Amino acid sequence: MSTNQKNEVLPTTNKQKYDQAFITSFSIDENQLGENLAYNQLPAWDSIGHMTLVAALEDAFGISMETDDIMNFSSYTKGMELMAKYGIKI
Amino acid sequence: MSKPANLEALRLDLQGLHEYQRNRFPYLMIDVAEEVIPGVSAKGFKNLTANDWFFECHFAGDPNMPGMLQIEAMVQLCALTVLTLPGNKGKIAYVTSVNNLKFKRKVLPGERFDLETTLHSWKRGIGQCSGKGFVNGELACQAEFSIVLPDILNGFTPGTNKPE
Repeated sequence: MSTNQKNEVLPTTNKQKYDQAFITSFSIDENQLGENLAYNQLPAWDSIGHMTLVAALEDAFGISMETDDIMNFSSYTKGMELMAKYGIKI
Repeated sequence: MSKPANLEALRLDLQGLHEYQRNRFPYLMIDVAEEVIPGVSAKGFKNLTANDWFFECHFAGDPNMPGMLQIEAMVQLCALTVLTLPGNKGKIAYVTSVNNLKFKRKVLPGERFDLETTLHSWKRGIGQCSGKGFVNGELACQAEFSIVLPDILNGFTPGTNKPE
């Protein structure tokens, strides 16, 4: 990762950007990321949190996700598959 | 946000407010929405009288409009910017977050509480908004807030049917 002028660590790889979207959107720690992380399995990942996550991913990767993909984005690992549709390899 | 094509500005009196949104007396905090530009902004006001229910309890001997109701008034008004978009009339709207909230002066019985709100973004049932409240042109409060229409939002979450 690199840093900005405020010495904040910035994600540089796709995996780092992907993880950062979850960490920021749900206010969770890196060690909570993984195959057990799924929609409604975390208090913060509710319907509003879901849209927050989608917006964070769209901003991070410069994409606009299709409705079907948003609805199918049911977990951390499923999301990795869906990102590939947009040419983003996690 | 830019104004959607073919949507004219609206002026909503009590009947119009009842038509587009679900808050009712005594919780409706707007008397008139003077200008609602769908998808863009809304201006309106509430005339405050000594008979308003909250003055008796907030506070005895020092009646003033509760700050949370000032925010509620802004939220109700800005919600009209999305409730006047096609297909949204009469839907339930909730506030989900309020940030950078500031109160500058008391809002008192006998005063007219003017409101100006802006919808900065509207996507998949979530709106990012800001608003200001004034009395006699003097800033009384300001805030940034998010509103949500669950009817739309829930159509994008895993395990639901695709929205029409």
